[in-house]
Parts: sequence; C-alpha cells; structure tokens
Amino acid sequence: MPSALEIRLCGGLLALNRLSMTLQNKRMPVEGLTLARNGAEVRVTVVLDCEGETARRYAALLSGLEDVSEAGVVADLEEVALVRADGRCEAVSGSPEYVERWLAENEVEDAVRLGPVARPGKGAC
Amino acid sequence: MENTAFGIEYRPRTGSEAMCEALLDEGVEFLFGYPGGAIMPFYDALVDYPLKHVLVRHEQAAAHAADGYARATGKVGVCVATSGPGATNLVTGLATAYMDSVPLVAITGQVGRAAMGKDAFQETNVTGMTLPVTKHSFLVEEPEELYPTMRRAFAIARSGRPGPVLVDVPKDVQFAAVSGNGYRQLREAPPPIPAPALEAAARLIERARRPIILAGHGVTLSGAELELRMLAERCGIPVSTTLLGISCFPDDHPLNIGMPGMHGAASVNRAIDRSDLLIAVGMRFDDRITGNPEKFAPNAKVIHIDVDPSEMGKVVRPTVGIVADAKLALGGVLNHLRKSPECGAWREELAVDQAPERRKEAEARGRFGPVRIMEAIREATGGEVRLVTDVGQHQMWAARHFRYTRPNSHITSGGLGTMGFALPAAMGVALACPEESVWVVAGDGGIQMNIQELATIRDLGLNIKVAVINNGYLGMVRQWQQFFHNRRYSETPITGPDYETLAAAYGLTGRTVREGDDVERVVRWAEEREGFTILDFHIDPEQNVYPMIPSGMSVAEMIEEDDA
Ligand SMILES: Cc1ncc(C[n+]2csc(CCOP(=O)(O)OP(=O)(O)O)c2C)c(N)n1
Ligand SMILES: [Mg+2]
Repeated sequence: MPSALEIRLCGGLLALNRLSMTLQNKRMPVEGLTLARNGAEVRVTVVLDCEGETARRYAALLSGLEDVSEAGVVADLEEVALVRADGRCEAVSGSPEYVERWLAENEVEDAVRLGPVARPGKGAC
Repeated sequence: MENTAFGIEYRPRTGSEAMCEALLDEGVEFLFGYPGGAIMPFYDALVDYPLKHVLVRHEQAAAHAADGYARATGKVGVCVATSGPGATNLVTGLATAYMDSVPLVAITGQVGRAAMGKDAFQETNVTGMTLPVTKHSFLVEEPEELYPTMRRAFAIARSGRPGPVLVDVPKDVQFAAVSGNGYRQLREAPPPIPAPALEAAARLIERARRPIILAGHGVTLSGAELELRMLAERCGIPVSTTLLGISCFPDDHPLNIGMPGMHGAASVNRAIDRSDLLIAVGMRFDDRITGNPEKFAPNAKVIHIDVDPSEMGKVVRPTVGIVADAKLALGGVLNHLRKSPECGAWREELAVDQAPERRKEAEARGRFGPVRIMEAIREATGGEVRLVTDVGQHQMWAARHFRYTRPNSHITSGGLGTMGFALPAAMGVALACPEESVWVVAGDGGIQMNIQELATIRDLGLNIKVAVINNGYLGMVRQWQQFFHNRRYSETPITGPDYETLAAAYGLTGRTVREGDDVERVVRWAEEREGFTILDFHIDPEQNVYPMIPSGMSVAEMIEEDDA
C-alpha cells in the first residue's frame, strides 16, 4: 500500500536539494514527487511505496530537517490533469483514481498531470 | 564617520567582524583551521579578537581536532577552511562528526558572489557536496544575515541530536559592511515526554527477568551517566556499553558486562541473544551491533530511548519508544518505577559465562601485546586519562581491554570509522583539557594518515602521548582477508617511518618498544615526562581480534579464538 507525505519547505533551492538528497540518501521508496507552492512556501507531496508506519518514521526524519517547516503523512490526495483534446486545453481534477479513470476513458492528444498533491487543509500537516 | 565624542575614527563593522563577534558570543575559545584566498578577510579580522586559532597542517585535521574538542567538552567545535580544496579537505571530518552526532560549526570561505557559478578559481559547491554529511548548511549571500546565521548554526549544531553545520561565506560578503544583528532563536523547545510511555517502560522493566541496558553515545551527549547508574543499580540490571557508549558507565562496576557487537565480548552477545528486555539508551542499533537484525535479540522486548524520532523502528522495532534526551527519559523512567525486577539469577548466569573471558584477559595482560599495553597505560595514568583511538584492530583492543572508569574518557570515530582521526582529535582534546593526561592509541596505518600534525603539536607544546600498535599490517583488513579471503593479504602489509627519527625531525621524542622490553617502565616514562611522546610498539603481526561475528551474521556464527 503506497503512502503519501506532504512536506512544507521554508528555504530556497538548497532546501529542495537537501530534501531530494535525503529522500535518495535514506533510500526512501519514492514512487512519485510533486512540487507545488502556496506563496513563498514550497509544498512537496511524495508518494512512497511503503506502509503507514514506515512513512510516519520517514515523516519524522524529514521534519527534523531545518528547512522543513512541517512534514506528515496525508490520506487525501488530489490530482489535476491539464488535457488537450479537440484543440482545446482544459483541466480535469479529482482523486488520483478518478483522474486515472477519466484519462483512460477519454481521448486526449496530450496531458500534463499535476499531482498527486496533498489536498489543502487536510491531512497531517 | 567621525565619532566626535572620543575623537576616534568610526567605521561600520564588516561581515568578518560580525562572524568573529558571533563566535565570541557563542563562547568559542578555539578555532581549528587553515587560511586561503577566499577566507582571507575573516583571517584578517580574527587578529583583533580574543579567539585562539590553531593552524593545523591539513584541513581534515582541523575538522577532527574540532570534533575531539567538542567530544571532550560537550561544546560546539569550530573549524575553518578556504574554498575549493580547503573545503573539500574538511569533508571526511564533517562526515565523521555527522555519523557520531558531534556538534561542529564549519566555516568555509567561498568565491565572491559575482564569481559564483562560473567555475571560478577554487570554487566548489561545498554546500551541495556536504548535504549528506551535515545536519544543516548555509550559504550566506546577504551580509546582514551573517551574524544571525552564525548564531543559528551553533544553535542547530547543539540542539536535539547534535551534528555538524556548515556556513559558507563568499569573500565579498566577508568584506561587506553590516549593521544590526537580529539574532533569531531556534524554533521549539523539546516536547514533554508522554507519561504513558514512561509508565509502560517502567512496567516492562519491573516484569523483566533477563534485562540488559545497552548504553550508547546519547548517554554521554546528554550527561546522563548518573541517571544510567541509578537505573542500573536500583534494578540490578547489567549494562553493556556500545563503542561510543564506552566510559559512560564504569568498566569496573560489577554490573558492567562489556561491549556488544561484531567484536564485542562473546558473553555479551550471547546475553543479548537470551535477554527478555533490552533497554537501549542513546544508541541506534548500528549494524556492527545487531549483525543480522532479523536474528538480533530474538527473545527481547525493546525499550528504545533516543532524542532523534527517526531512529524509532529504523532497525529494531521498539515495544516502547521514548523520543527524548537520555537524561530526561531515564529520570522519568526512574520516577515511574515501583519495584525492581527479579534478575539475580540472570546476573549469576552472566557471571558464569564471563568468567573464562576474564581469565583469558588476565592471562593476556601477562604477555607482550596490546592487552598488556592497555593495562600499562591504565596503570601509569591511574585511569585518569582521555584515551583517543584510531580505527582498526587496536581500536577494538582499546575498547575491550582498557578499563575506563571516568565518564567521557574514551573518544573514537565509531560510525564512520575514520582512520587518521585519533592524532588530530587528540589535539582538540588536549587543548580542551590541558590538565589531563591524553593518550592516543593508533595503528601503524592510521597514524600515518594525519602524521603531519606532529608539527602542530610541537608548535602548541601539547602533552599528548601516542601508542602506535605496530603490526606491520592494515591489521583489521588483514584479519578479514585471513578469515574470508583465504589469507590472500592483498595490499595490507604496510611500512612506515622509524618513529623515533620521525619524532626527532619534528623536535619531538619517540621510542621503539619490542617484545622483551619493559612495557610498564616505558609507558610510565612517557606518562611522566613533560611533552609529546610517541611509543612504537612492535607487536605480533598476525594477532587477531576475537571474537568476531562476520558482517550481517548472528551470534550463532560468532568466530571465537578457540575455533579459529
Ligand atoms: C580512511 C580510511 N581508509 C580505509 C579504512 C579501512 N580500514 C579499516 S581498519 C583498516 C586497517 C587499519 O590499519 P592500522 O591503522 O594499522 O590498524 P590495525 O588494524 O593494524 O590495528 C583499514 C584500512 C578506514 N577505516 N578509513
Ligand atoms: Mg596495523
């Protein structure tokens, strides 16, 4: 069962470097990583191929980093896909499963998927 | 600007001055470093401040010396280097401190801001390069940020689980004018320990019949020696100290059963195998202790006390985890204990298993070799000594056979196992504790890795004594070759200088000691004479460290001397 973490960063590029280095250095089983932001704060959602207890331990490890303001396991994920179909660009959003289904069922020329990201205002953060 | 009141010229502070002021405000006494182009403004400012700078002969030694100073004092050690090769030379020292949770602040010069990113002369991305071996790092691009960043670096280095912090400062930032400082405090105070965890730990202890305390570096780092002793004595629980835990509980205490792990005492490893409760305090279940974690302590419940939450369940899943400073946690557990466990039979069982090992050790004390050398140092110093060891077989002999009776008297590179650590680290220890006896125990391989520091030692007149345990081999690697590679001694025979002549070349004193010489007398002579002395002990080249649990295996595969 994959788990997801949301990590909020308060530093700049070095903070992001340190985060991705730590994910790699501690051999966290990263399946997906999405960057987003709210104002100056960078929000990173990481999907890990591990159960909840291990994910919580990783969250504890990441929250120990100085430029991580918060890190926690999140249950609710949201995905947005920007799709191009019939020459038009539109956004599809919903749970990752919903977006997956939608993309399989609809004919699209190209798609950019933004997510999964932690749904705002929920989860452990 | 003219200060009219006193008629003296007034100029704004520079970044370098702000750095020095931050160091003074942090109570720093010693810096260990080496100058170069990109750190020159800082070195220029340094002259005007009451900070003592130790000019090492290699930046790696600066980091190890700062590390030794930090381990001996519990304060933050400081090292300084220039950009490029100066900074890269620090990396091994930072990694060593990181692995052993030692608080350091490393200051590096960087090329000027305008030159950065252009492959400028002596430019390296040192913040990038040290990401995995620092607790945190800063590249200070704004002069006004220098003072607060320096203060913050110290706060981070010593807070929670200590570690090294790097501050990289472009040359023009060191030159720039700065005004206010605006120091910001670190974010939070440690959370209180939840009572249910303490309660649960106390109940587990009360019900245990075969408990063992595994005491690690966290005990020393948090100054929890007394609480550890109170818990052990009140409950009659045997204590095993890990490599970095050694000396946090006296070796001559009847409850001290010795070191666990790959080269730990066989009786300790068997005891862990049979134990029903491990109380792990400030230790992280390193693979050198657990071997195969699946087979480690199969019968034991585990109470794990560590200040770093990410250690909980990393290797061994605790029955009760307490994320806290060891001193607070042990105090809390003691407060919740209502009775002592019944473990008298367990102690007797352990004593029976230990008896043959103790006999063997006593025999070895009578023969020329490492055990006797350790005993001679112990006798000559009366145990009032800080023993700094390097990495290899001699490190294990010093860990196992020296009897440490003073807190924090054993200093070594555990997690990284850095050869070349001991001599420079001892410089930091000797400066921190000028009244104390400081001995280095090093191998003939490792001593050559930072031997250039003899010049620094001579300049400072440091009263360090060195015992080179000279077996003519990279002994620990040779031992592995003997056991696991059919005695093919590939690139492990090693030569070195004549240490008497070498010492003389540096204006220092050395002696060669061979079988048949009076070990006790020469060690006493070295201890009693004023000033640095190196003793080169030529021991049996193929002596091994026993027992040994091969990497990744369990106590069932332990190789003991009799079956080797
Ligand atoms: C910098 C570094 N390089 C290599 C090693 C691998 N290594 C571990 S122990 C050892 C042998 C050390 O030889 P020596 O200093 O003579 O000590 P001895 O084992 O003989 O007591 C080596 C090469 C290391 N730990 N550190
Ligand atoms: Mg050797």
